[in-house]
Amino acid sequence: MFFALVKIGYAAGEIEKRRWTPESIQQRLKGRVVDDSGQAISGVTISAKDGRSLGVTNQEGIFEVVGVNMGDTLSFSYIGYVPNEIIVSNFETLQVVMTTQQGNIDEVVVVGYGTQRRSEMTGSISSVKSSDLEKVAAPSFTSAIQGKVPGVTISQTTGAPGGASSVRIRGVGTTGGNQPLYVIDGFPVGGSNIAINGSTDNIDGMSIVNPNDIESIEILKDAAAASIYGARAANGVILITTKRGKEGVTSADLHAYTGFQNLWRQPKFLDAEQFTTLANELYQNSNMATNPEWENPSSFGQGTNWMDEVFRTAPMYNVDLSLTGGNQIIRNALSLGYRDQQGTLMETWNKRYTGRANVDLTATDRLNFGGSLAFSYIQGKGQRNEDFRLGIFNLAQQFYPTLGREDVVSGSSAFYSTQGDNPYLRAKSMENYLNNLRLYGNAFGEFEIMEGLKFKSSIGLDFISNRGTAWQPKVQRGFYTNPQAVLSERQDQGLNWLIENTLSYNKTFDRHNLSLIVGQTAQKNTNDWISITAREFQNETIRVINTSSESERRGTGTGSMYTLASYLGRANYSFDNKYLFSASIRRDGSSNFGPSYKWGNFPSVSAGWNISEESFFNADGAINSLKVRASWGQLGNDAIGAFGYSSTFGLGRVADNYILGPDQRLITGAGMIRPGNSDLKWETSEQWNFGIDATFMNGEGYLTAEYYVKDTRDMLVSLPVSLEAGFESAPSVNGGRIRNSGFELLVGYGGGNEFQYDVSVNLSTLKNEVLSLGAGNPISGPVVGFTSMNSSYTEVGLPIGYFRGYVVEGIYQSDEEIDKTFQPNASAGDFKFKDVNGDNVLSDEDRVMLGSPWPTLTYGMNIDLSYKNFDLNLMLQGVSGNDIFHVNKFSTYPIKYFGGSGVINASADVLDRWTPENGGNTVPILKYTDLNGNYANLSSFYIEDGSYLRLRNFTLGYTLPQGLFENTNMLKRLRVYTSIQNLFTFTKYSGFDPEIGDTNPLASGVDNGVYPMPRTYMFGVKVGF
Amino acid sequence: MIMKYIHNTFLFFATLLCLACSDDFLSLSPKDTLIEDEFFLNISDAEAALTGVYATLQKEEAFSNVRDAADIEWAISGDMYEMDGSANRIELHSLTLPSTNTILRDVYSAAYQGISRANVVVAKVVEMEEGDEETKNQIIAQAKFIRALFYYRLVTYFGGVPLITEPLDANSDLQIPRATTEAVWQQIENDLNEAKDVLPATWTGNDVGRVTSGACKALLNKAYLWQEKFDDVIAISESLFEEEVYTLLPDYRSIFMEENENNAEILFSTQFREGVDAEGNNLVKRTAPRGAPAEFTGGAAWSNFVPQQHWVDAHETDGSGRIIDKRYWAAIIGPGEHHQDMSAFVMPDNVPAGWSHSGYIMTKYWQKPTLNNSGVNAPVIRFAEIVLNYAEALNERDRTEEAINQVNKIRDRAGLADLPLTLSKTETLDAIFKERRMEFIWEPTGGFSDLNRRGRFLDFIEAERPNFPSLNVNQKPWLQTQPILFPIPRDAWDRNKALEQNPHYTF
Repeated sequence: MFFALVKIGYAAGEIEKRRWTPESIQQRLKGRVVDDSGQAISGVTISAKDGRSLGVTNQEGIFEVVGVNMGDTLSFSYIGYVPNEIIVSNFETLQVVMTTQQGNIDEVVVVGYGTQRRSEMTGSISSVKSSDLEKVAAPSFTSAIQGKVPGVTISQTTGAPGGASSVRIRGVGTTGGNQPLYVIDGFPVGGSNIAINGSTDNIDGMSIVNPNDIESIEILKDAAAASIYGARAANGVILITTKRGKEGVTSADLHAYTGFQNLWRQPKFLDAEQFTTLANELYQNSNMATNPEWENPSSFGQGTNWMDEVFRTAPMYNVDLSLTGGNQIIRNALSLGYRDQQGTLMETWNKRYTGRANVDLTATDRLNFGGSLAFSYIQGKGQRNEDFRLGIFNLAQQFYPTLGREDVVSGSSAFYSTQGDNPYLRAKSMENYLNNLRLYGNAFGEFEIMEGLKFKSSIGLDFISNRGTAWQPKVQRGFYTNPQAVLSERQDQGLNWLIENTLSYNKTFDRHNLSLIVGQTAQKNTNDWISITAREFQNETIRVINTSSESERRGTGTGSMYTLASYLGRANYSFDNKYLFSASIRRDGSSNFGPSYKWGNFPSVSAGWNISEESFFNADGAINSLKVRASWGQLGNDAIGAFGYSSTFGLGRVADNYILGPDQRLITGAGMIRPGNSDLKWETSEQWNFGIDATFMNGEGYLTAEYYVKDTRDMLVSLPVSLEAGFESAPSVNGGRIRNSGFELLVGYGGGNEFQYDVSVNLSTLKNEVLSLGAGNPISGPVVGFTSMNSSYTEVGLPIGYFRGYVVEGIYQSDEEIDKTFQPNASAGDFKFKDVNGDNVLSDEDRVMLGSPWPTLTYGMNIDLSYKNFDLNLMLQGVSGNDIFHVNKFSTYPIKYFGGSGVINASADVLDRWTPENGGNTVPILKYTDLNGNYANLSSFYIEDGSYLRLRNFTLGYTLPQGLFENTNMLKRLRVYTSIQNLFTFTKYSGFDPEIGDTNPLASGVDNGVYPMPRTYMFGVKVGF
Repeated sequence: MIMKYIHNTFLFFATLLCLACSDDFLSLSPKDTLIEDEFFLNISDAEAALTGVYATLQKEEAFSNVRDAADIEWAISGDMYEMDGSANRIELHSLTLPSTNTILRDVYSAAYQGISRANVVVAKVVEMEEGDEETKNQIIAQAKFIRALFYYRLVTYFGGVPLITEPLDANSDLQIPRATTEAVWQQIENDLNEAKDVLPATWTGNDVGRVTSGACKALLNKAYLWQEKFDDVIAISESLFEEEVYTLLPDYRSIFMEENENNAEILFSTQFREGVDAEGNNLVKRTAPRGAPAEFTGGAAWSNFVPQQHWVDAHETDGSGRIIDKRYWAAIIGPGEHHQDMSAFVMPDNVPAGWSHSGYIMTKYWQKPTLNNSGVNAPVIRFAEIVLNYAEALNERDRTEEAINQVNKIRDRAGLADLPLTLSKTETLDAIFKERRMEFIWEPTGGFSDLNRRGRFLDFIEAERPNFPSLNVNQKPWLQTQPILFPIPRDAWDRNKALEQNPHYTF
């Protein structure tokens, strides 16, 4: 939210005065104008009392005026800032601090390779400032900005502690890599999620950044803003700028919070009596013997509620300490953070240690150095899900309410699934740990060759070490056996370096303002891993590879590399702050492409017009400021596996090797992994953007509206190839074209004195359409494990990855109703599918679009109120127009175990099943064999409305009155707050949580039993020393 | 001083700039895979690629005797009971056969993965400059056998399928229509005829387990038999007999034993090794009784398929009702019976339903406790089948007495009385099919496909499958074709719209 409230505690128009001498002589006066965050403001007009213009500040905020007399009044004015007057009292260098007006549209915004004032911007960039982040005590910044930025859709992919989320900027333009590029303090880093060895819970890759360290987050949405990042910018760019030390400001801040989380909702499952009743009914319907143990359902009563056994109220703690300080020569910021979060699901947790040191050094007038070094160490424990099976959460939905917490299944396999396990005992026995160390930082030097011309060089390093340990003891729990204890240790190591050299030139002459930058960068990533799996342990309390049976150890390992070389350039020109022009180009070469297509060019042009700067515009009218802007540009995507241009052969993999000879010798073999495509090239996304920025009602109201069209051409895709081709992996091709278009609006109103308020609403629409798939056939998304249902379908004219299947028209109430040529295997109580094309054959042509995972509208509402020392934040967020493929019903509806013999527990919704006596039109008859394919076919039965509205954050804070601390020098500020996240959610969705993120656009909105999102209650304190 | 410093700084950064301007920086080689330019340079590359072709046999969907032998052949014919009732298996043995069936899809797709690798070897090894011709020809011949083996599978299950014999790449047209059944058979015959003349009758040392000329002749024999080219069956059988390499082992159980692998009865088997390195198979897990003590099973035991009572009842018995067929005693255990190799393991008198629904367990593959993957080889073609194929061809050419003599070789080994030489041609054919049924349980032959080949399937299940009435055969028009074909998998059609579906099925 760039229209920030005036920060509490900053005095307006503060002037720093240095050595006052009462001489009255006309002299030359130099100085520098900065904003309240220490950023230089250029273009500030300095005028004398009589209105005579004396000069403007340059790009560095520096001004020099002549003919000034001691005692003269100088006024400083600039759009969006409170005008400032000072009386000349000496001729030392002046430092003038200007504060922002309410609804300021002219803060400094970090852009690629530089900064810019918002009034000068022609691209589409949304900013989130630290003051906004502070209001949501979220464990990662991705969840803190969820719902705040129009055009950015963030969904948590798991409720696991530290869990990953998917971040999508302006829709999905590709079937391939679709995560944005993350740039921390100018250094592009990998943001991929971190896997816990042995677990399916992924950790957010960007949780390496402590939100407390972040000064601002900028989201580059359109091509004008992002094309300077060329080949990796097609999915948008997120710039993270960390807090740095400031001259003259020394502070120590401690932020601590504690809280707990639990499930915000728990759909009902059958209790023991209901389960046994329905199981008996199922066997009777199938003319099979019923289980004698379940003869008397009422004797079981409620039984065990397995959800209660495996979910819990989970505590969390967080402590952050930050120190900043500095003088003219050296400025530092140092921070340390610790967070400990237990998961709502038993035996899951996450701990994070972070540290950061930022240093800036002014060596001479012309030479600056700076750098930062940060680390994060993440430890975690996760659980594993295997496609409806054997995951703790899945098992809790499926396991028998008739059994007690420590009971195992060993009954007849005619009635019990032999492939399940007791979720409670299983969770206790599995140990999957993560130890992830990330060490990253950069150092730069900047030299001013002549006035306005600067050379900057920086080097960045990012080191990753990831150790995963997965342990499962030797165990026999009823049918479940693990005949040998298994220990798997995996070590990943990666190094990513970057060298960057830029030459920039800024010049302000008269009313012309010009800034140029050219540069060169080179980046290289290397990754290697080894993994050892060992079995059979002498003593299972000692779990190291060394104590395993020597003959039962197996090792694997490999590595990969990636290089990128780039040239970049950008020119910004503005005239009189009215007419703004910008053009940029980046030329990128990537190792992912073959010799003929290594390099790609990514240009952009944009223009803006500050209408309110025109003399005909009356800034005191209804509208106070108004700007229109437009941009066009191209962005690239090279997120595709390496070496797609050449056929690759695997050597010595299991699928390649064979056994020969009487001694059963292992013969190393080779096999083609993927055929090469020598024509492989960049995916290009071409984007148009039109925007309006305005303030109104005396600057208290503000509005930004944008419309964009984003076309992805030459989409990099592994098109499904004919099974007959026999390729192990599909070749990468450039096929297809996808259009995302939408309208984004942010409108707000803020003001007040004692009672301050800022209310804003943002909304964005999205229309996603596949315009072409090259020569290829429609793409079926991955098959959901254990089923034959494809998670999605992608074809021309419809949104990417939509849901496709039969339409259920109801349930056949009697055998007579059934047309046996249409549904030969149906009987009374089965789904009646719709004959869409009317040919009386149930075939592929009867499969239609049933829904889309993409919200057509996402919206958020942010309310900040403060009265005296109280502050309140409410953050609502919602989506609508999207659907969810609730494939979890495949295991939670039929009662019959989907993967083998016996029955399992089911959702309480199954109580509405069809019976000959009572009929019913929602849930089919309970049967042991589903010959009609009621559950095997993807149909409208599985598709549900995924819209929701959620109160994502509620925070109430109280800052102790300043007066209390007057007698102490130590304490500067003390704020206490309480916060609740996910307090309530409105949704029609019947599953655990409608917020389902997935990193694969062809498997989005598919709920196959996702670790549900928690509700979080927190209490925190923030102390400034 | 400062100027020198600046000068040096610039020199340093100029060097860095050059790092990026070079294309060398952007031209990497993979660390873990070979790229095309670096492969197929010498014989050892060709051998490795051939090994990769063999490796495709090991999948459960290929020639590991699971998807084919158990799920398709013996569960559809109904002599084995599928214990799990998972949807994809029910679709097969209940004969609903939707085109979405995952087992059929996986079998189809696994066959083409093998064919694809074989095509690469056939095409690339010819082009190789290095290496002596004989070795190269032998490599190509082995690849051709495996290609023919997969096409045999496809043509017998699906009819005429897309016939691909050249390597494909990303730029190939992959909308490939189906070829005729005849064209596929022709390709199979061509490949095998070429291969049989190039390959040795036996391999020695570490090459044992590779394709021999005998294996080529045996598969050719099967191909001729399916096409009812009975004279060719007789000729190729006799050519195989003349090699005097293969014979019937006197002891039935010893054919399958892990310590007796690649014996004289095995014309071709998929090779496996026990252990955790995934070069083994799941045959022990899938046969050993679920829930039985781990000291005998090794741990994971699923008894996915068990012999049905009606199959057991089909064995010949003595006056007291005791089964006299040695094959039963060598490969099956029923209530109260001892395991053949682990005598301490006795089936309970009341076998728990989880162990076996029918009370019987097959022990051809479960020979000892197996912790992980088992190393027992999966027999694909064995000499007993050639003997019975030969008998069938002789009988069709009205050499019924000679045919009965061949059948009696199989019966002798099983400890059964000789059939009288006076049997009619029809009776002899019935006797041959009866022997196939008793001889090959849970092997890739003797079940559905054999019956289907001669149009005997529906009669057989009507007579033998107790649940025949509930199968509603009359409402399943796809069972009324001759031969019965499986549906072309919908996934295949999703990606290749040039495919046409077999009659009576939909996508």
